Amino acid sequence: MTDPDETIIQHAAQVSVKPVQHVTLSTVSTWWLCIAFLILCSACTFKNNIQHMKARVELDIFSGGQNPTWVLTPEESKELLQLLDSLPEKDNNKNEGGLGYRGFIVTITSDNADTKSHSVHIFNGTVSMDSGAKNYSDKNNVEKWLLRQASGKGYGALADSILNHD
Amino acid sequence: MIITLDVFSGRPNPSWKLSPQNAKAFLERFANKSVADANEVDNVLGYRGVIVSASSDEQLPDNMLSEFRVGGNSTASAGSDAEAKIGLSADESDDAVLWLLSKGQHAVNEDVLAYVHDTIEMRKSGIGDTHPTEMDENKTEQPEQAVAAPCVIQNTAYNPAFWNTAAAQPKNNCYNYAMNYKSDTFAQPGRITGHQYVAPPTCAKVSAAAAWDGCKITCNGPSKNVALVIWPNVDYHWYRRHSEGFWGHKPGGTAARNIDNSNIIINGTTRKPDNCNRGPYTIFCGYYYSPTGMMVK
Repeated sequence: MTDPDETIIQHAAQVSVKPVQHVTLSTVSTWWLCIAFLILCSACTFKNNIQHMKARVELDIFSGGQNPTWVLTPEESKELLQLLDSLPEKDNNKNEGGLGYRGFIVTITSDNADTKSHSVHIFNGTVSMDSGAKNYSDKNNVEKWLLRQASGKGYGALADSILNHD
Repeated sequence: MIITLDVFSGRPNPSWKLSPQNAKAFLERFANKSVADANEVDNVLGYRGVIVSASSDEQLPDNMLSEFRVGGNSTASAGSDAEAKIGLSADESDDAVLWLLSKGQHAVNEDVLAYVHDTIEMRKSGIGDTHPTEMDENKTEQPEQAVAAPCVIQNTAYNPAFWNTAAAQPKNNCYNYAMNYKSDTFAQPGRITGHQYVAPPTCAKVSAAAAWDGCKITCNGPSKNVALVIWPNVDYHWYRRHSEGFWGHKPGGTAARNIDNSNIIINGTTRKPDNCNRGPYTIFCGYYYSPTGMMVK
């Protein structure tokens, strides 16, 4: 059976060589743009179709109770994807975290039921795509952006305790 | 392998664990036989057979249903090969149940045991239905069992592979892991019995909710060692001791492990749930006993 991660990589490789209107592919941003491309309608551009994408954020922090979750607006999703763009690749540090704060899990889906969803884990300076298929250095401070998001969604006390701990 | 006598209505059914040797001997009875799905049963009050389950991290052989029923009014017809095989006869099923009961003496109250024996004997002799009128089900508002049973510690071997799969890991939390029951519901203390605690979590509230599910302060019958800790007013966390002596746990939807936040093995001697690195879960509530076969939701 084909490994799902392997399939994503294969698809990404195929997509990266195709010309995409209104989007410039740089070497470091190819992965994220490929994700956007895979998620969005192939005949349309990213900017025109961001409303078809849904990003669900999970603050991974609890053990017994359910983690806090919220859904980003199209504008917030666009901002997040821009932050995720141009991140330099790095080796996976395999730091899942233990009890307490373990980062954020962002699940990106599309209205198109045939499109595969993607999971992005952001923790401790590393952005991991689909269970570590690709790993990036969080030089754009995506994690801090998500912590500010958490504060705005009513989880300010948790966000403060995480920031104070750092 | 967990055996549950399906007999009660208001309180959790008694369960016990079979040793690997007894489990092997038991399964030999089902060679080339089909088994009945655990849900196939008449909804009668009283004895309804026994449920053989692998919802814990001790698994059945690959070709068996993960949960099936023996005895009662079940008919052996489930399973992928049901059309090709026949099930145990009624007498064979009764014999299998009586054999299982002989291995679970500490878990089953004497009165309940006598009632089930009588029911099976009456069925064999064709007398007909019996009614559990003589059986005290102890339907009070007390979660603790009234009758004390000998303490038998049945901690199981560390088996993280059972939990750390793409399907199971995100749907099962520390409570699932500690009570060794994969419900795929991110289980909450008290939910299966309708006594879920109200936030914010405290030692008293979470342990009381777990007590409704069967968890005990003192060892009573076949049990496993568990421990509860609290992140003050925010969250709770459970640990479970394994037969190797060390403690395992599963922080939320992450992987099951036997190390603490300092990446040191919680070895059960110098490092235990009360003194290991627990991050923000700073309050240690205590050690508890989870009955073998305890279910959560």
